[in-house]
Amino acid sequence: MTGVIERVLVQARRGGSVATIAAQLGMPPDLVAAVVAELVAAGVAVQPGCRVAGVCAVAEQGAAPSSCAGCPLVR
Amino acid sequence: MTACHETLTGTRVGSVLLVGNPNVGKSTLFNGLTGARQTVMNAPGTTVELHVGTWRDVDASVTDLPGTYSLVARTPDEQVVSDALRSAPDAVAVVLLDATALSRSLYLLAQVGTDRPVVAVVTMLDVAATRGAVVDVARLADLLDIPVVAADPRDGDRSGALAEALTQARPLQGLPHCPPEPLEAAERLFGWVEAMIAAMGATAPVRRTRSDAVDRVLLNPWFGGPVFLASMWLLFQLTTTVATPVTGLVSRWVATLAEAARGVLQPAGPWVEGLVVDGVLVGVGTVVTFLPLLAIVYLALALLEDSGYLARAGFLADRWMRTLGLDGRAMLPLVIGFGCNVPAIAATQTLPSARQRVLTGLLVPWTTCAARLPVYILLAGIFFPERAGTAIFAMYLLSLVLVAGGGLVLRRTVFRDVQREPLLLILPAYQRPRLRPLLLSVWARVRGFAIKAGRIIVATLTVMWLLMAVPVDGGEVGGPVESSLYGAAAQAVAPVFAPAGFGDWHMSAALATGFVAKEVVVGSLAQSYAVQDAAQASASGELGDQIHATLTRTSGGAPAAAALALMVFVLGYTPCLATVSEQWRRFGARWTLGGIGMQLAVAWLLAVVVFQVGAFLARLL
Repeated sequence: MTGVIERVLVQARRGGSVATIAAQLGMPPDLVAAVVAELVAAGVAVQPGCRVAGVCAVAEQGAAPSSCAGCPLVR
Repeated sequence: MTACHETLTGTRVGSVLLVGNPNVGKSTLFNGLTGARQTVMNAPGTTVELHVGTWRDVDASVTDLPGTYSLVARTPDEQVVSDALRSAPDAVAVVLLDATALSRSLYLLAQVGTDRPVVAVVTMLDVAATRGAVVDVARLADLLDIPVVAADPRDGDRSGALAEALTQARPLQGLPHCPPEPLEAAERLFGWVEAMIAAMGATAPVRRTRSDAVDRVLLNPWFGGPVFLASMWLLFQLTTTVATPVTGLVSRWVATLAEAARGVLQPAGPWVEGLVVDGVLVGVGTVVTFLPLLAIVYLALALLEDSGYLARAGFLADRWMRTLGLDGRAMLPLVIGFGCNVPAIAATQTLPSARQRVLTGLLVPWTTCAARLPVYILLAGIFFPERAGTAIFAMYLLSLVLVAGGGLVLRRTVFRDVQREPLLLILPAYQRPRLRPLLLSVWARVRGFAIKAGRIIVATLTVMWLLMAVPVDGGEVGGPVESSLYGAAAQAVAPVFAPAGFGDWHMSAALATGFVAKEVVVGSLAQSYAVQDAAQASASGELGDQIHATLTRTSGGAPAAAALALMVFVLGYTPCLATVSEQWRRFGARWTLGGIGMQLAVAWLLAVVVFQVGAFLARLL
């Protein structure tokens, strides 16, 4: 059997949340969550929360130029 | 002198470190062990607070470390935990295991207990039981071969059992050898965790959710893309339909306000009246009329975000980019670019290589930012009143095509050496959007646009008005706009756009101000016509009528094709000075100037093609 991380990676590539991946692999959701956290730490995956705007963390609105004021994705 | 506790393995316990996932009950246990004998201090070199106390029963120092899921640190809190464990190799670690998330807790235990004495404390047993996951603590102790205490900190004092367990603390046995590479080490520890969980047989059954069923359709390679495009089309269709009456109402208010201001300022003289009313108020007022519409777009986007659907769109885009041979990681800055190009350029720093950052940075300006939306709305409303939503949607579609096409060409020419590194997007679960945060977010964005972007608009329009007042032919100050410095410069550039059907000085001047910021384009158009109005009675009329008349003249009777070409040019050329300066700062002069040249050339070529084809079809029909 392939490793836990490899199985999560393969399933994540098909698209899904932690719960979906866990259900499809028959793994405990918290184990999948732990694997995902390590993948995020290694820069292999991103977990944007419920907002894609989560990826805008590199550009908080306070630091962004005023022309970004209307940006719906910058916080 | 501190009396140390003797363990069976011979380790002397001078200090105890409490380790565990967040919200597992560490602080409750810490308070139970130390009572009032505790102090709060900052971890060395950080602002992270550590609680340190004395456990009198065993005469040991106890440190309550911040909650963490892993010793591979990502946050300052996690770094503190990792550093604290490394700096106290002989301290006994009491690792709290959350019975509701046993796998995740065991992973942390495995990281901590590799080479130091550990004791496990299982908490949340009651909550786990209600979820159908019963944890057999005795069986767990057998498997781990370390002391395990079932001590829910909320259920009375278990410090006696823990003190006794402390005397038998020892490192975990049977852990796999871990290589130095973090992911390989994690893979082996996860394998160990999975084996432990299987041996425990404590896993609650995992059911597929409604989200899974929805995702089967929305993430399907064949249906997902069309469903996303259809939702975006619907969004713009609804936006233009709902917003048109509101925009008309605000427009009438602004016109009334301008007339009132004109009356009030008349005694101050024509210069003051001209600057305030024709120079600024008309331009700003035109932008203000789009605020309700922007609010509706922001609300719709916030709804998509908050429901979790926008993350699915990101996943689809990522898959699509990889299919085209582009790096999946580039998807993140490009998604941000649809809001604003400047933070999108900043976000390229998350890409692993300098070449990838430059490649993505050159594509970002073709993502159509929110500032271009008022231009699309104005032109689509004038020239395609029945299909305004579709026309705006087409600009977003063309933006995707430009990014993909540009990326493909650049990848196969200048950036052949760039390697693909796919990125995984772990999707959030769907959720019901929450009204109050939605409305607050929309309010903050509209207010931010009105105040911050408003400053740029007012400053640019004031400079423009002054340039319009300066004559170049020795005429009087405040004469015809065409004879002003502004008009002359704009007229010199205008012929360049003749093949695209909009070779007129109003258009070229507005496009020039668009270099400063796209928010200014609509205001600039309104201002140039308004100032002209004041100088030439023959040019009077509504802004829409004036633009229509201009493009009818410049396009030789195909104004819709010229308007579409103008929209395409606005989409394709340099977004704003802020984006240029951000590119310059990050990629240097050569790439920035090359990028500007590429954007102008592509925008002009596309505009010419769109106009020529459109005009040809108009003649046929």
